Amino acid sequence: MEEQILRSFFSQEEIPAHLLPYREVFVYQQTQQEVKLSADFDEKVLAAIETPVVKARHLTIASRFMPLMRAAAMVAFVITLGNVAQRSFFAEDQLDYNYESYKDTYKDPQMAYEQLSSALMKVSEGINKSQTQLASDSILKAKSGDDSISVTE
Amino acid sequence: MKSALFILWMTLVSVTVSAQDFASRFLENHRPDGNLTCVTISPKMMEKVMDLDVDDEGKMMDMISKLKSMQMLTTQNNGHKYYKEALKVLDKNADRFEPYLSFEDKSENFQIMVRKKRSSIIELVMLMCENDCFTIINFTGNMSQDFIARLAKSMEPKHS
Repeated sequence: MEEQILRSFFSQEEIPAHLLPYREVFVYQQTQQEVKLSADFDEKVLAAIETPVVKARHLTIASRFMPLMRAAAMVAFVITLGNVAQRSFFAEDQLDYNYESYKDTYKDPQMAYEQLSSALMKVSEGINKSQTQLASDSILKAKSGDDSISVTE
Repeated sequence: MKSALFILWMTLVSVTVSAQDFASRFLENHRPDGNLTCVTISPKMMEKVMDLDVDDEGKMMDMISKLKSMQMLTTQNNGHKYYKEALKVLDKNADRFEPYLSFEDKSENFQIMVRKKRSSIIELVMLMCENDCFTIINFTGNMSQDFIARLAKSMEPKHS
């Protein structure tokens, strides 16, 4: 009751000069009583403390296979790029071999020549033997054909 | 950045693998194999060979001038096993090589294949199995039917 009387006294505009320093105390109490929480305070606090709701997402077949399709596309791209690079690297030459990886067995060209000659001779021998066998096989076939004709005759 | 490097690496691998001759492809499946001996003559050595002063009436040098490289694999053991494996490698690369000639008897087997590009033969491969010895002779270069005919003639038995 006494506090109420004091507040209403200090809320007046005209106050004795010697009591003016005490006025601020009562005015402050008055203004603080008027301060209230905002209307959305509860909502804000609840939003901050509540756990987020995880929503289920519907996955289509296309979205499921998307990583696989991406990987396949990447592989196709790499292969295409490889072929293009190969064609452009060796465009001037029909020989598309990676000769950089070849390590010579001989340092002496004479030794290399002898090895080359020997290899060519072996291939030559192989060709001749194959051709001879091919020719004799065809002669045998022709002969057996003639025999069968003569039998039917 | 990482994916760009990966793409670059994959590209280089793809180029390297597709740029191998038959002997290298075969060797890749048999590494390390102490039984196999590999003789390699690179294009650089081939150029040096061409600079040699050899008195063979120009026949051999003329043949060699059409070649760019040679690889020869040999083994003295398990020849039949290696021969079969080489035929498997050939089957795998059937779109690359076409059979040219073959020879077969009790003690010897030959298979000659060629790889063609446009009208020229760019690779000639001979698989040879004699008794238990196995050899792959692999030439690359700019060869032709005429080259093979002349090569055959150079070793043809002379009839008197």
